[in-house]
This record gives sequence, structure tokens and C-alpha cells, in this order.
Amino acid sequence: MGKPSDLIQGTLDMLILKTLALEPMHGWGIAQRIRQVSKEVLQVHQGALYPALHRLEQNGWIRAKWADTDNNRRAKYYLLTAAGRKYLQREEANWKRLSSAIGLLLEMS
Amino acid sequence: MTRWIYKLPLRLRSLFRKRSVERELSDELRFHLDQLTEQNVSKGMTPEEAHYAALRELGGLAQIKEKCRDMRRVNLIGTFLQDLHYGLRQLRRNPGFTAVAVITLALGIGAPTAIFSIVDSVLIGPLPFKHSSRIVTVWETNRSGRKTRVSILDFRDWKAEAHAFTQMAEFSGSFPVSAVGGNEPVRVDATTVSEGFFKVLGVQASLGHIFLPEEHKYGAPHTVLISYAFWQQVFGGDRTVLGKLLDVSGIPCVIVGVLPAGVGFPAHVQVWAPDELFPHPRSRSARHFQVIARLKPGVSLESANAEMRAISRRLALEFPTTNAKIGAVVLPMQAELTSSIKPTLELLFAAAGLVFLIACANVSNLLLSRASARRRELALRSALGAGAWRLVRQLLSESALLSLLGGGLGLVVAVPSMHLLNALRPADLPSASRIVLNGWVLLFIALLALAANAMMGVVPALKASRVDPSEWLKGAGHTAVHRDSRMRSGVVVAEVALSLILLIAAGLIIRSLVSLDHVNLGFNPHHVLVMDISLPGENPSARRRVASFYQDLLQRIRATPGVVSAGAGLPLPVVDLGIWWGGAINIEGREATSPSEMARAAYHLITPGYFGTLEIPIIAGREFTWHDNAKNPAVAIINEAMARRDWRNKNPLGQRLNLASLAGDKTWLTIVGVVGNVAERGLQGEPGPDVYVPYAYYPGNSTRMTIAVRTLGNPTNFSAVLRREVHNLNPAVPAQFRTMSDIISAPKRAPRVRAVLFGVFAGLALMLAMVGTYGVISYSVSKRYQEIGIRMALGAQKGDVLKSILQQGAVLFVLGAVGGVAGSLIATRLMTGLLYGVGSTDPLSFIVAITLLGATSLVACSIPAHRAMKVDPAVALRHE
Repeated sequence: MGKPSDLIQGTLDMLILKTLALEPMHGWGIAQRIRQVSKEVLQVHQGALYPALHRLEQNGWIRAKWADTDNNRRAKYYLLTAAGRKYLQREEANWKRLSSAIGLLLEMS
Repeated sequence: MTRWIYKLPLRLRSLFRKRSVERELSDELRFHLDQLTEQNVSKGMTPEEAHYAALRELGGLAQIKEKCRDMRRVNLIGTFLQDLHYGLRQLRRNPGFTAVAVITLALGIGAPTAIFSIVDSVLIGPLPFKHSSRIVTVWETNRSGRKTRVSILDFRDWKAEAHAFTQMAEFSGSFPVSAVGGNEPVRVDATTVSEGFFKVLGVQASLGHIFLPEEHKYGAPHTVLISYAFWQQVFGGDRTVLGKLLDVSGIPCVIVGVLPAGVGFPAHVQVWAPDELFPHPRSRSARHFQVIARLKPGVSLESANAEMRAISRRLALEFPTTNAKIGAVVLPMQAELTSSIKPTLELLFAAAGLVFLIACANVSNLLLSRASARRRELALRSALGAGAWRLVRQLLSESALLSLLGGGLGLVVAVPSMHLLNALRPADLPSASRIVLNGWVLLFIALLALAANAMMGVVPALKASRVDPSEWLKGAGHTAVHRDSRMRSGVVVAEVALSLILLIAAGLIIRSLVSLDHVNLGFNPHHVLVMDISLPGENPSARRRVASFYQDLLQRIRATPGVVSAGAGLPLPVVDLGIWWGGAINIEGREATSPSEMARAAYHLITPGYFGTLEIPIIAGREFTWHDNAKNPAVAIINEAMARRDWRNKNPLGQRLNLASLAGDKTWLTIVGVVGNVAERGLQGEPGPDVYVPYAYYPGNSTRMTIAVRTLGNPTNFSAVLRREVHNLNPAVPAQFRTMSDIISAPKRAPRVRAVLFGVFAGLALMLAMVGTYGVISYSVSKRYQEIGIRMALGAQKGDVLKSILQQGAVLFVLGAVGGVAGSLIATRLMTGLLYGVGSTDPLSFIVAITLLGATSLVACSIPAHRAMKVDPAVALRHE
């Protein structure tokens, strides 16, 4: 599957929060979703994912709830909090500004 | 901030439910593992292969768990420790700042703590008796509703009839005796008590036993109980003390018991004897005793009061001569004992509170200045990613460290003060309620430290957190300094105002003390020995002997070498505080029909020689002589106050009056003399009208008189020889001795301590305000170096610079003074109860306080002003 790309911590946070903005999900599901949507480019390793999830939880941007999956297994689902939603908006805006600025620079030739 | 709703329970869980949190983590990762395994199986691997592949892909489970744990731990304790460590380093790097801040806080926290410890031990804490809230004091009330002591006969009737109490006992107040246990006579306070006294208190002897019923009988061998302290002091804690003899004012008594340590009542009493040691006056109107009682379980104070009132009414009907209009009142012992000191304590607490506020203001200013200085550092940290909350937390933990250190040092300041303050306790409190460092005091100090932290740390921290990094990194930001310095100046103005209030209050209290010291007593208290005498007078034949007894006794006393003069009276000024006897005066020519319409005056029974002994000036007419006893004619003497009130411009000599309140007495008395006013009732208040009558006219009331003896040299040297004279005349008559000087100085003890404490607080406040002013001016000068340099380069003289800085300080002072004066006008009005001889708006105190404050402000400004004047323009222009 190729080496997982190095993602800066802040960006990983943003991706996780974005994923959760659509619907609550457990860790496994988040990793799958990111992989799918990015067409296999971004593969988040568990060693980065779970610490990130716990950090986000400690910061109050997501919260956890244990629930049953479709297969009747117990899993820890995460949800976005109101503060987390606001944080996501801010980070998204920053990212868009940054990437368009880089894009402009790269088009320079 | 809403994130805290989620963060807090999480943090608490990590702290307290670690095991379940760990289990969750394992479960979560296992779920992931299972999903991964499933995926592998669907890709075609066998379950076993799938499982191992999944494990491999997952990588180190342990490491992942550890990283997750890190995420939790770091957020909880890690940052806290980091902050603390950093804060400590900051404090160590600025030792001057730290020292000033900590000492300021220590003073500000120590002062209220010391006062609180008194409040706790005196007002709040329980008395050292069993179920002390059930112990009450019972008083009689006179016709004006004021409470008075109780007569022995009334007490006996009460005891027989009242059902509200399990025990009732009386005691005779405390009086000094000379006790000889070892070789040296020791002066101690003693009291005589009735049966059941110790049962009311719920006290048992620690050695020996409390008085047995047979020890309370007349004719029984004399016995005494001694206090623990007395036992240690005189007998060295010797356990064979029981059975030893203690000579009490010439009477040998057997020691039958020692009370437990720290227990005693009334306060300062070291020796207790049964009533029967000194035969007491049997007259129903001799109101000499104090009564304590223990409420029955389930009986309320109100019902006890109701019952006592009913009993008094019955007694008033049965004995109208002595008990008309006499009521009774039941009061809880603790409130009783502390009522005199409560206003003082409240005032002192307020003063200490002001000192606390000023100290916090000072340290807050210090922190503000420091925060400004660190703006650059904080801006940098903010740019590097520290959240605003993180910065605030950092600064708060620094100020928390300061409060911690200040609180700790404050404890060190408060403890020795507590020992000194033991003198402030009211004389009546049992000596056991010593001021100690207990849990409540520690809690109080912790709360103060927290409050200090909140007050002085929050504002600078919040200000610091709102830094805009870009602005500061660019080097601009002088506008922020101005905003800051206005707040700092505001704080200093508040400090100056508060310290002015304290200074003025202290001035008023000190002036009260000085007035008290110089109060015109109206008589000469020096070299006067005071003898308390009680004669038997329960039957008419005994009463007939009363007149001749005093005549003989006074003759013998006067004949004693070294005695200048002697006279007896009831009540004696200042001495007999518990006794006030007076009523309506019926003046001839102005007859009113009912006593309530008549003029009122205090009655005094005296012997010839009374005025001369006390050196009370005779303004008109003459003193009494022994011939006046014959009532031929019946005479009286009035004082200046009465003469002025009732005979304004006319000569009262030769006018007649009678004492209308003595029921059944219609003897017209001719006024033969007018004497000077005498201070009454604890040295305070205007002298009221007095009428003096020869004692022989009312022998029933004269059985207990106080004899004043003016001596050459030290009066205490005469007690032994005078006691012998009394004994020779009538062995059954007890006599107790005190000196007038001792009696006079007692009421001044509390005002003196009050004045000292207030002076200390005011001094502290002044010092703190001075430091605060200095801090603000000095800081502003240092920030304005550049500006000063420019002005000097442009031609400003040193004098101009000095003037502008002093102007700055003057503005602070004037604003503070205005606020302080306004505040004082309100605050001192609350103090009027404690003032004597000065009004609450005494101009002298105000002027002195303002001048003092102005002088210290000037000094505080002059130091930075000097520094400003020495600025070298060239250097300053380069300064940033």
C-alpha cells in the first residue's frame, strides 16, 4: 500500500475532526474513511491515530461514547463538540488560506 | 471555555478511575485489532494468519497505549508542574521583588489571622465547660431595666421555685485576697460560691474533690479549691497538697481539691471557697451576688426568662419594700461575657481587613509592573503556540506561589501576635479559652491566601493573556503601558484612601485613650486603701448596732499611725460598679404627685470623713458630722451637677428634699452642703446628680459599705493592721482590701490594648501605602527615561523635572486623601461607641492623619524624583 505519508500533527487533527463532523465514528472507522476519501493516499497509522484521538478528547474538542456497532460489537465512538466544531472551522480557514498561498507561489515560473 | 464541561469529568476520571480508563483503552485497541483481522480474513488469509498480520500491522500495542497515556498525563499534572517550576525560577531570579511581595502578603495575611484567632476563641468557640451553651447567667433588673446583681435571699427563693434549671448557684464576683501557701503571701483573685456551683459548670476536680454539701455549712472547717495554675505556681504541682493549709486573708483554709488545667470561672480566679467563709449580708436589698445556672434539657431561654419574670413579680408583691419593680433576666453565658468586647473585636477585624486589602493591592501592583515587563516574553510564547489560557495559568501559578509563601510567613507573623493578644480578652472570660492555633485558624489563613491570590493575580494575568504578539514583537506597545499605569495609579489611590481611614481611626482611638487617662475623677485616688465590709443586719437589734459600729471602726482606723483620714460610703465612686442605687427626689416646693414626675438622682450613704478622705472638694456648706446621725435636723448633701440642674441660680443650701424612692420614708432632709462632681460608672459618661445622706438614717442598707482610708505611703502595707482593728471590734465581720489605684486602672486595660493594636495596623497601612506610592512613581519614572531625556535636552531644568514628578505623586495623594476623608466620615461613625472624649469627626485627628500621609507620600516620591533629576539626557535618549 505504500508508505503512509507523514502528516503534521495539526493537519491530522483537522482531518479527524472533519471526518467526525459528518458523523460520529470509532477509531477504525475514521482511519478507513480517511483512506477511502483520499483515494488511498493518506493512510493514518494507529500509532498516530489513537494518541491523536486521545489528545483531542483531552482538549475537549471531541467526546467519546461507547456504543454497539452493526455487528453488535462494543466500540468507542467519538463525536464532535461545539468547541471542536469551531476549532475545525478556524483550522479549515487557515488551511485554505495557506494552501492557496502556496499554490500561487508554485504557479510562479 | 465550554470545553471544560467535557475536560473536567475526563480529568477526574483519569485521576480516580484509572483502572476502568485503562480497560477502555485496551478494549478500544482490541476492537481495532479485531476489525483489522476481519479485513485480513476477507482478503483471503486464514484466521490465524489474519490475526498475526493484524498484530504486526498494529505495531507495538504497548507503545500506542503509552502514547495515549502520555496524552492524558501531560495535560493534567505535567503542565501544572511545569508552571510551578517556571514560577519558582522566576521568583528566585527576582529576589527583591519576591521578598517585598512575600513580606507584604505576610503582613496582610498575618494581621487578620491574629484577630480571627481571638474572634474564634472568644466569640465563636465554646467555653471549656460541659455543654456550655446550656449555661446561663441570671440577673435582677432594676426599675430602669438595667441588670444588677442579685441578693442572697432572692437567690434562695429563686432556687426553691424555679423549675427551668437543673442547677443554680451564686458566687460573689471576684475579689483579691492575700493567700499564703508557702512562705510568701501571694495576691490572687478569689471568689466564694454556693453549693452546686461546679455542678452548673460541669466541672470535676482533677485532684481531690469539689465542695461537699457539708463543707457549705456554717461552722464547718474552712475549705478551699485552687486552680491548676495556682497549684503549679505555689505548690510546685506537689500531689500531697490536699489537706495542706492555705491562709486566705488571714483565715486558714484546708485545700480539698485542685481544678483541672485551664478551667476556671470567673476569669482570673485562682481560689474558690464556699460562701460561708465570709458571712454575707442577709438583707434582701443587698444586691451583691452573681448567679449562674444550667438550663434543663429541652427548656428554652425564653421559657426560662418567662419563669424568672413570674417569680420576680411574686417576690415584688411579697416584699414591696425591697423588691418593687425588680425583675429578672436570663442570658446565655457566652454572649454575656463577650458583649463588652464584641464591638472592639469587630472594629479590629475591620481594620485588619483593610490592611489585608492594602497589602493585596500593593502586591497586585507589583505583579502588574512585572507583567508589563514580561510582555515581550509572553508575546513570544503566544506566537509559539501557547494558548491564552495557558499563559493565564502560568501567571496565576506564580501569584499562587507568592500567596502560598505569604500565607506561610503570615502564620509565622500571626502566632507570636496571638500570644501578645491574650491580654485583650475580656476580664470575665474563663482563663481556659486561650488563643490557640487550631484548625479554624488554619482554614482561615488558607482562605485568605486564596482570596489574595484571586484578587491580585487575576487582573495582571488576564491583561497579560490578551497580548497581541505582532504588536509586541514589532517593539511598539507604549499605549499598553499607559493603560496599565492608569490601573496601577488607581490601585495606589485606593490604597492611600484606605490607609487614611485607618490612620484617622487610630488617631481617634489614641485620643480616646489619652482622654481616658486624663479624665477628671473628681477625687484623688492615690494612696487610698479600699476596705469592703459586710455587717450582719438581719434583725432590728443588729441594725441598731450598725451606726455605732462604723463610728467606732472609723475612730480606730483614724487613730492608726500612718492613716491620714478615713470615711465610708456606699457606693464608692468607680469602686462599686455593680451597685447603683438611686431614684426619685422630691424637692420641697416642687412637689410632684408621682415619683415618675420627679427629678432623679443617685443616692449615696456616707459617713463623716468621706469627702475629706477622697479629697472631693466642698463647694458650699459643710461635710457631715457625727451629730447629724441624730436626725436633728435630718440633712443631705448634693453635688454640683444636681445643684446646677435643680437650683440653677439659687442657693440650694437650706432647701429641703426627700428620697421618694425609699418607700415609706418621708423624712425631709435639709441640704447643708454642695460638693464637686465625681466620675461614675467606669470613667465614662457625664457625672450625674448625686445626693449624699448620712448612713445612719438607713441602717438596713448600710450593712455593706466600703471604707476608704487615705494613708501615708503604700496603702497595701496597712491591710494587716486594719484587718486586726475590724476583728477586734467584731470577729465575725470579714474585710477585704484593695487599693484605689488598682481599681482605677482596670477599666483602662482594654482601651490601651485597642489603641496599641490600632496604632500598629495604621502604621502597617501607612508603610504599605508608602511602598505602593513609591512603586508606582518609581516605575513610571523608569518608563519615562526617554521622555525625561528629551525634555532635558530641549532645555527643561532639573527643577522642572522634579516638579512634574512631584505633581504626579501629588495627584495620587490628593485623590487618595479625598477618598479617604469621605470614607472616614462614614467609617468613624460606626466607631462612636468606643470613643471617649472625642467626636467621630475630630478635626485634629483628621489633620494629623492627612499630614502624616502627605509627608510619607512626599518621601515616597522624592526618591524616584531624585533619580529622575540625575538623568543624563544623552544616556536617556539611547535608553529604550
